[in-house]
Amino acid sequence: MKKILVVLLALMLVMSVNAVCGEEAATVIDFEDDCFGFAAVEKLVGNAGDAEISIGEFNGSKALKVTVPAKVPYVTVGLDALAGEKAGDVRTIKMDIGLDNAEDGKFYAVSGNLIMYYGTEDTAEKTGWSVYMAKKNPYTVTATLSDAAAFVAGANNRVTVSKETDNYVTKKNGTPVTFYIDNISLLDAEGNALPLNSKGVYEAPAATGKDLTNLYALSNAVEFPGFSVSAGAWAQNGLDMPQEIIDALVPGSVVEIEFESASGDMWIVMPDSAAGWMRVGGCGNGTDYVNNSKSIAQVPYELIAQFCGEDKATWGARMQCEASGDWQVYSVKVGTLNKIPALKGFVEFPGFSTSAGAWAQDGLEMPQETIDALVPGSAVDVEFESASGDMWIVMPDSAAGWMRVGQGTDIIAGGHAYITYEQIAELCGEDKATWGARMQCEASGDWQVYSVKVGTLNKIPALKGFVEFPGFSTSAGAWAQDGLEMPQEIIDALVPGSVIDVEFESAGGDMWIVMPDSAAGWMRVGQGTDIIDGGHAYITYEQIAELCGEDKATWGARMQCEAGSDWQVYSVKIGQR
Amino acid sequence: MKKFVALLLAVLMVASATLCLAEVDPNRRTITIGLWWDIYYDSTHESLEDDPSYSGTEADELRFNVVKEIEDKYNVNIEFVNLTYTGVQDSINTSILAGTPDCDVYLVELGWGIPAAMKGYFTDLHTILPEDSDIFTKQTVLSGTTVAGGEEVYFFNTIGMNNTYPLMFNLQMLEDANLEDPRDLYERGEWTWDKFIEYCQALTKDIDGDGVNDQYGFCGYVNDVMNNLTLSNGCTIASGETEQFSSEAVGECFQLVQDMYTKYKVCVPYDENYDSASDSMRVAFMNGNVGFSVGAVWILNGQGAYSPNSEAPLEFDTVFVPWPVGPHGNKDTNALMQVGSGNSYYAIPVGVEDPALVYNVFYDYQNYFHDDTSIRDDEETLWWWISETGKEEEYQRANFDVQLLCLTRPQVDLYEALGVDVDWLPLLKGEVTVAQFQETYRQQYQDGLDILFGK
Repeated sequence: MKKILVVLLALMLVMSVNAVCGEEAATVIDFEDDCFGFAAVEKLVGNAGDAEISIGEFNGSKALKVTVPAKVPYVTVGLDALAGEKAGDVRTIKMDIGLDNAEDGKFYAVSGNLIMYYGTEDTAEKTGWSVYMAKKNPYTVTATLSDAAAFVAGANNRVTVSKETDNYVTKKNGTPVTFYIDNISLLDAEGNALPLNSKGVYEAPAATGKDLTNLYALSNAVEFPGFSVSAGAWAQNGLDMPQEIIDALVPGSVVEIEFESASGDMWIVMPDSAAGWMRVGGCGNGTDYVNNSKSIAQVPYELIAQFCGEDKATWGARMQCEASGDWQVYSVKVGTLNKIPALKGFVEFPGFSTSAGAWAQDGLEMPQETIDALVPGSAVDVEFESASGDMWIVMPDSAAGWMRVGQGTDIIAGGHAYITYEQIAELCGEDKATWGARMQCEASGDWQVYSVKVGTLNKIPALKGFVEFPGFSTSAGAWAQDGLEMPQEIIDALVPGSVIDVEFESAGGDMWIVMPDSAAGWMRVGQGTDIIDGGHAYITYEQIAELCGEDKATWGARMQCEAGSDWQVYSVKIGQR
Repeated sequence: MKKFVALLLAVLMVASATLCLAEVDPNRRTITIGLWWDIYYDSTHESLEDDPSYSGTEADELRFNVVKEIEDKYNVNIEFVNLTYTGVQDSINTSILAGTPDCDVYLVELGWGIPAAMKGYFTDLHTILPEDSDIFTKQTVLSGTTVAGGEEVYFFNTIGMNNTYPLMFNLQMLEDANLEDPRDLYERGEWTWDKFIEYCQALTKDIDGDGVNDQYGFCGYVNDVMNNLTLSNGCTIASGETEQFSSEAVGECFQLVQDMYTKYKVCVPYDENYDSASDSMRVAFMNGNVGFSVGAVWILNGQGAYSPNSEAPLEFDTVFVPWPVGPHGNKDTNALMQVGSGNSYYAIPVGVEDPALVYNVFYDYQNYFHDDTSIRDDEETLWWWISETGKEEEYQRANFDVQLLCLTRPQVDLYEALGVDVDWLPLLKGEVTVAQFQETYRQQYQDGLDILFGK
C-alpha cells in the first residue's frame, strides 16, 4: 500500500512539474505543459498579419492557438530551440493542425504552407498543407526536406507554418478562422522521433529592411534632428525647422516620417503658415503616401506648397506631426524623391558576390550576357550592404579613363543601388565596346555586394489614396483565373492615372489581371507588361483601357487574377499616383 | 481520458445525427465534387440569390432548377465542396489510395492529375459507360480526353469556349492566287502537309522584283506552330511517362518547320529577339502580306482585326481551317486542341460506389440546358468568340464552327510545363540537324517527366 502511495505521489509530482513548464526529453510537443517559447509569430513578410499565439483547448486537449484578424499568419518553430544539437538530424516535421468552425458555425477548409528554412544561408523549401474536411479535422500534416537539403544545428533553421487560404474569408469575407497546432514531432532520416525540449526559446528576428511599398525612394536625405515625439489622437507635436531642413525643402523633395499610430495614418501640420494653420496630407483624404505596413509616410514638397503657398519663407517656423489615433514619430527626414526602380527581364552577373573596405574596389570581368544586357533603358542593380549606406560602380578599364559611375547620383532603395545605362554612357561614352572589360563596386564605407544584375528599368509607382477591393483574397493553379465582381467603390477608383496593386505570391513570380466580361472580349491585362516588385504587381488604368477600351462601363462586372504558375493573391487595391 | 470522452461524444453525436437523417430518407446519397473554388448551385443552396454573381439569366435559372430535378430523378443530393487547391491534392493522394475516396468526383489539373491517373487512381469512363454515350460520340455536354497515347478516358469537362489555335488564312490572297479553298480540301481529306507547302510556295513572292520577298506563305510564333504541327501529325512530345521529343513523328514536325524556313523559304523571317517574337510573329499576318498563320480569337482581337470599334480593321477576310494532316496524322482522329498541365478536368476516383451513377448525376447536372445547345452556346454570352474573327457574318459563323470542332478534340501535351528551355532558332536557321536538335533536349524532357511522375 505504501509503495502504491509512493508511486502515486511520484506521479503527482511529475504531473505538477509538467504543469509548470514541461519535460525536457519528450518526443512529441503536446502543449499540455503550457510552454511554447520555441514558437513565435513572424512579421518579416509583407502580407503577414498581426497573428497572436497562445495556449488554447482544441479537441479535448491543449494546443497552440493561432488567431489572426486579417491577412496571413506566419508561426515559426525554431529547430535549435526544440531539438538543440540534434537540429541537424531533422528530416521531417510532423504536426496536427485543427480548425475552429467559422463565425457562422460551419466548417470551412483552409490551406497554407510549411516553410522549412535550412542550411546556413536561410534557403527555404515549402510543402503545402490543408485541413479540408470536417471529418478530417484535426489533420496530421508533414513536410520532409528534399534529399539535396539539410538542416544545420545552430544556424537558426526553422519551420514556419503559414495559413494562406481561408475559405471563410474567400467565400463570406468573414474573420479568418482560428487554427491550432498540436503534437509536433521531428523525425530523423530513419523516421525516429527526436527528443524535444519544450522549454527551448526561439527569438523571431526583428524585421530588417524598410517596407518601401507605395513610397518614393529617398536620396540625399537630411535628418530632422531630435524629431522623436508622440501625442494622442488628433493632437499635434513637433519642432522648429532647422536651416538644413528648410534648405532641403525644394521642389521634388519629400518629407519622410517613420511612425507608428493606432489609426495607421500620419500627416504633417504647419501651424505657423502665413496661409493659416494647415494640415498637409493624410487626415482621411489620402493625399500623402503611406507604406503597406503603415510605418512610413511621405509628404511631397508640392503638397505642402499646395496648402501653404509656393514661397516656403511663408510656411512658418514649425513642422508638426499628427494622426487620428495615438501616435509616435521616430524620425523625420527630407530628401529628394525618386521613383523606386524595379528590374525586368534581368540577367544575373554570375559570381558577383564580393566585399571590400571603404573606398576599395572589387569586381569581375563582364561576361558577354552582361555586356549584351547593357542597352539604353537598362540599369545595373547592385544588391549590397555598406557601413556608409552608399554604393556605386567603377569602370576601371574604360577608354575614357578610370570612372566612378553613380557616386551620389544613383538611386539607393531597399538595399539596392541602381545605376542606369545612361549614367555609364555619360561618363564612359556611347559605345559600350569602349567601356572596358571589368565592372567593379565601391562605397565610402566597408561594403558587401550580394549580387549584380542588369535588366530593363521600370519605375514602381508611388501610390496614395488606396481603395481596398473587399474580400479579394484567393488562389488558383497555373493559368487558372479567380476573382470577384467589382464593387462600386473599385469601379469609381479606376480613373486615369490609377494603378491596381495586387499583393501576391506565385511560383513563377508573375501575376496579371483578367477582365473576363469585357465587351471587347475576355482580356488578360498586364501579362508580361506589368511591373512586379516585392510581391506586388502593378497594373495601370491605361493598360486596361488599351485592351478593354476607354469606357470603363464596358469593362464588365468582374476582375480576376491569373499567373503562369500556382498563385495566391492576398489583396487587391486601387491607388492613385 | 478527455480525448476518449470527446471521441465517445462525437460518436454519439454522429450516431444520433445519422438516426435523424435515417428518419428523413435512409437511401439518399450525397454526390460530392471536390474542387478548389465555389460552384453554384447545388443541394445546399436555397435560392438563386445564394450565388453572389447571379445575374438573372435563363442559364442561371436552369442551373438552379436542374439540382432539384437531379435530386428527384436519382434520389441524391449533389454538393460541390471547396477543399482548397492543396486539399484536393491531399485528398486524392490519401483517400483514394486508402480505398475510401473523400469525394465522388474531383477537379484536377492535368499536371498532377495525369500522374495520379497513371497510378490507377481514376476510373476509365470506358469501363462504366456504354460506347454510344454522348461523351464518346457527339460530346454535347461533356468532352473527354485521353493521355499518354492510350485509349482510356479518365478526364472530362464541360464543353465551354476556350482558346483554340486553328490555321487561319487570308481568303483574298488565296483567291488571287487561284488556290482552292483549304476548307474544301480538308473536307475531301486532301488538306495535307504537302498541299500546305505547295500553297505556301505559291503565295511567297517578290512582287516588286527587288530580290527580297514581300509576300509570304506563312508566319507564326514557333511555340504555337510546334503545338499545332504535333497535333496535325498525330503525336505529342510529352503526354505520358516517356518523352516523345525524339520520336520519328515529332522529328517530322521539326523537319517540316526547318524546311519551311531554310529549304522552301516560305516564312516571314523569324524574329530572333526572344522577347518580341511572341508578339511580332503572331501579328505579322495582319499586315496583309502573309497567306497563313496561327489563328486565335485573342490574337485577332488584340490587333483590332475586326472589332466593331477598331480604328483600322482588316480589309481582307480571315478564315479558319484545321491544320493540314501530317504523314503520321489522320484527319478523322487528329486532336485539334492542345491542353497542358494547367488545364483543369474532372475525374471519378477508383473506389467510388456506383461510378456510373456518379457520372450520370454529374452529366445531368452539366446538361442543365437539356441538350438545347442554343442555351449552352448562347450567342450573347459567346458573341466575342463569334464576332471577332471576321467582318462578314458568313466568316464569323464558319470560324466559330471551326473553334467548336477544335474544342471537341483535345489532346494533352505537358511539354511546355517541364522546365525545358528550348532555343528554337538553331533549328529554324538550319544550324543543327533535326537529329542533333532532338538529341540536345531529349534527356531534359525525360528528366522533367521523371520528376512529374515521381520516378
